[in-house]
Amino acid sequence: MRVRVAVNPVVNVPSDFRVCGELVISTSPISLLGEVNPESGEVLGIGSVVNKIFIFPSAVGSTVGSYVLYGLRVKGKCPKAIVVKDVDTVTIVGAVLADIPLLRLVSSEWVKIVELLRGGRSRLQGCLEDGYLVVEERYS
Amino acid sequence: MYLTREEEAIINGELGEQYSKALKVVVKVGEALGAEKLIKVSHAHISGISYYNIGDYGLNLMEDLAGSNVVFSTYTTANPYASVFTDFASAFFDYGVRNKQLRIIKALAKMGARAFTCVPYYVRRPVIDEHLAWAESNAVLYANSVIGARTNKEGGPLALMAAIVGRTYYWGMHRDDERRPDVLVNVITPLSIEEASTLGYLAGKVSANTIPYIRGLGKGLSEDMLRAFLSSFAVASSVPMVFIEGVTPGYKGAAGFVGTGSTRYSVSREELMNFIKKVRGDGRSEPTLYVIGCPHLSHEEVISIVNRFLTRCCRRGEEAKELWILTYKGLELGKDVVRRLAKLGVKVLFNVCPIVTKLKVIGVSRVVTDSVKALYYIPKVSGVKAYLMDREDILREFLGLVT
Repeated sequence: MRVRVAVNPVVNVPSDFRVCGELVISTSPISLLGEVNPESGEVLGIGSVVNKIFIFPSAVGSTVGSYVLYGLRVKGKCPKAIVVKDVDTVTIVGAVLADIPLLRLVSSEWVKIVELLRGGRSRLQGCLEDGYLVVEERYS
Repeated sequence: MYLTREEEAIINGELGEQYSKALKVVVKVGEALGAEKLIKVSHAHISGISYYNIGDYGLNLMEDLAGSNVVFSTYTTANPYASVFTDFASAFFDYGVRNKQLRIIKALAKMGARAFTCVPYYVRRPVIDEHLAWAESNAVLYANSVIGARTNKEGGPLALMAAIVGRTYYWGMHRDDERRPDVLVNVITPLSIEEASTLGYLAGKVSANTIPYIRGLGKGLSEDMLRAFLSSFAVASSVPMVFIEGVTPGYKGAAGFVGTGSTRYSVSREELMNFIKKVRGDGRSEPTLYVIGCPHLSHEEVISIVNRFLTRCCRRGEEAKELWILTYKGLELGKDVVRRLAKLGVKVLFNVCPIVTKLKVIGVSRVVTDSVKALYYIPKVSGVKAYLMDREDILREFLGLVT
């Protein structure tokens, strides 16, 4: 089954943008400082985001969290794209500094993301293109 | 967002890649917030410069910028850094940490940072209606609420970008229509710095997301008390300004927004005393670091405190107690004065902040301070216990240790 989630570009999203990869989803807000390890690209509690599509509601906590995203770039551990529910300044600043494509979900689409995590589905793959995140659901 | 031709050119790389990226950061944040244009700022103030806070990645970015010959486009100051260089502390911090902190300072200074302090308003005092891009909450509150200048509470990295391009997004506190209170907070008149600081924190709690109109602080509020109130307010509230009756430019007009029917709170003496009772320090015979200067003291305040110690001669016991007085550079105490103060256990420190320093490393286990801001952050960031005491009580207690 396919799920289509509408997204809007925020930064570093050219008109012909298309990336595919594994989705890594956090349903709770992320404190970039403290929860994201720039050395390894690991996010506390949810695993590696390296070369993946990283989805979370928004960033909370210290504004120097932006430097952590820059750290991912320095260490070559960036996700392919970040998709957020609500844009916040910490994530925007970090995405621009680190050249990470940042997109935001069209409001009301977050429920679809939460739904994806129900029922033990894992290793979700998806593609971002033409204003949509298209998710291929696979059951583990 | 509307951009001028000059701004378009910067985005397109006329000044180089780093300026383009810096402006892109400011524009993208502005667009996300719904700003219609950018505005030039006459002073940027950068926070987040302690190596303990920003780590290798903040350092990498600042060195990358300074290495590509980026120069700040506007007057720029930055927050104080970790206290790793003072003669006594440097013995404890390893070379790696000291060196990296030094590299952060050097990179910022190379780009044009003029001072390292949390009170940029004493280094370069803005005027009313001046547009600023300041990070550091106590400074933002002071600029908007005491001077009537205009700044949002910028994040550290955004303030760095704003310094590079000399602009920020025209939104929030830069606009007349956003500078208005939505809640009335009645407070009692504080009788000491400890009380003013606590009142600020309690007032911040009841106006966490709305600009308050503060009534009752009293006419005779000293500069010390005002600063104590505002810096602690910012610990509990996210808003960048407060209207203080009798102080904030335009307060008379603002009072009209919080007439009958608007939300109101009050902070009573009982509430104040309950808070203080819970966090108060005492003169226990334990190794203690006393800290005065969060936010940094003005040079006049430092001199008046130092003068009280210079009439004293010697220490009598309790060597494990030490007093730090924090301020910014530019005050020359003279070697003789520094030596005499050191004998009494008193140190005047410049450009540093104990909150962003791992105090545990230098063997400090207990801090007593007159600032609710320091009280709140020291256990969280610095990892040691902190207690509150009024500035005058701290000084009296410390003067009691010397003859």
